[in-house]
Amino acid sequence: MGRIVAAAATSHILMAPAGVEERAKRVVAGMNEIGRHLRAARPDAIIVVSSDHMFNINLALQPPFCVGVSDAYVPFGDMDIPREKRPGSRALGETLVRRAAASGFDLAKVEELRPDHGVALPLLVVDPERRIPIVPLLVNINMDPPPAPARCHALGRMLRVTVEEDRPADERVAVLATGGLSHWLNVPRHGEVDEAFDHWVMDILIAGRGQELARLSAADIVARGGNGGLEVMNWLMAGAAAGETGGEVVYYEKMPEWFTGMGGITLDVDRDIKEAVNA
Amino acid sequence: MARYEVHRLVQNLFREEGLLERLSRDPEAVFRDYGLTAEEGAALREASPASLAALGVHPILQMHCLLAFNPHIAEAISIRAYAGQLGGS
Repeated sequence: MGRIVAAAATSHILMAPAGVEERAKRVVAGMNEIGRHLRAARPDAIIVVSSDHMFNINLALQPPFCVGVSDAYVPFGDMDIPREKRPGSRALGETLVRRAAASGFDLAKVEELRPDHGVALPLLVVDPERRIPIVPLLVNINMDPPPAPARCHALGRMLRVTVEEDRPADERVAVLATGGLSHWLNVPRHGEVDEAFDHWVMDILIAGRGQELARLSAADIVARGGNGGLEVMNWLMAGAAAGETGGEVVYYEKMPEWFTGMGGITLDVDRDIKEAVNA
Repeated sequence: MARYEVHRLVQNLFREEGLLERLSRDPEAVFRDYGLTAEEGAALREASPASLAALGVHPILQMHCLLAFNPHIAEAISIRAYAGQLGGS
């Protein structure tokens, strides 16, 4: 059976550092620490759980969840991210979709995905040499209604079961969730950051209590963390995939100048998933 | 919520080759092609947070407009300042 060998979550933007130089340095240092953590686990593949910012899935077609099943990905290029190809794990993507179909999830398969900053920016940090095959898993937080947190939580658990039961022996898989934390974007309260919400999310996930977040509705999360704050559902999925053992906060900076709370956590991955599922 | 015709144009800004250039050269022709009303076209021409919000453009697609039509915003939302700093060992 395969194994989840590392899991982490991080915010996925960077903006010009003018006026926030020291905090921006700490954010970059934190992202780099998360990159080192994932690389140290020597993963054979990385599942990247992110939203898409309507560069790939927009109002024309609105699947709740999409899984990339391509052999390679070229970034969309937003935020001046280089359009440099990186490998994809078609086999792992296909296995996820197949297991999902047998488990009550209907995941959309995507061949022509141009990852935007949600997927592509954290990978610049985690795998700058573009060697580790990826599987993008997009959570459509921009549709109405968005997927429910409980659904994301269950899907996160399914990721782990899939890796452990359906993947080849000794395959090492990392899970990287991206996005968040609180942000209100182009809606009332635009630019606000709720530091208390951000710490609450990180604290419950590193305590292995993701179920508390899963019990919220999407509307609850929007009310407390903003429309962009729904990206914490990606973090919830990483926590569930990790087995909800615990973890630690790597960095946090309140960045109203960047319209968001920036944070990152690493998650322990040792607990038996069946124990977690039965808890 | 804005009409889908508006959203269709906005979500194509970075996807339809030549669209930004055509908008710059002859916006009224593009608005006609996409079936926009005069009011919708005026709001997109203004491309301010207020005009886009008043039109009911999806918040993320508002961002596409702001990036497309306000170079200083695109310069700020960029990784260029971090060249050589990402992915350190």
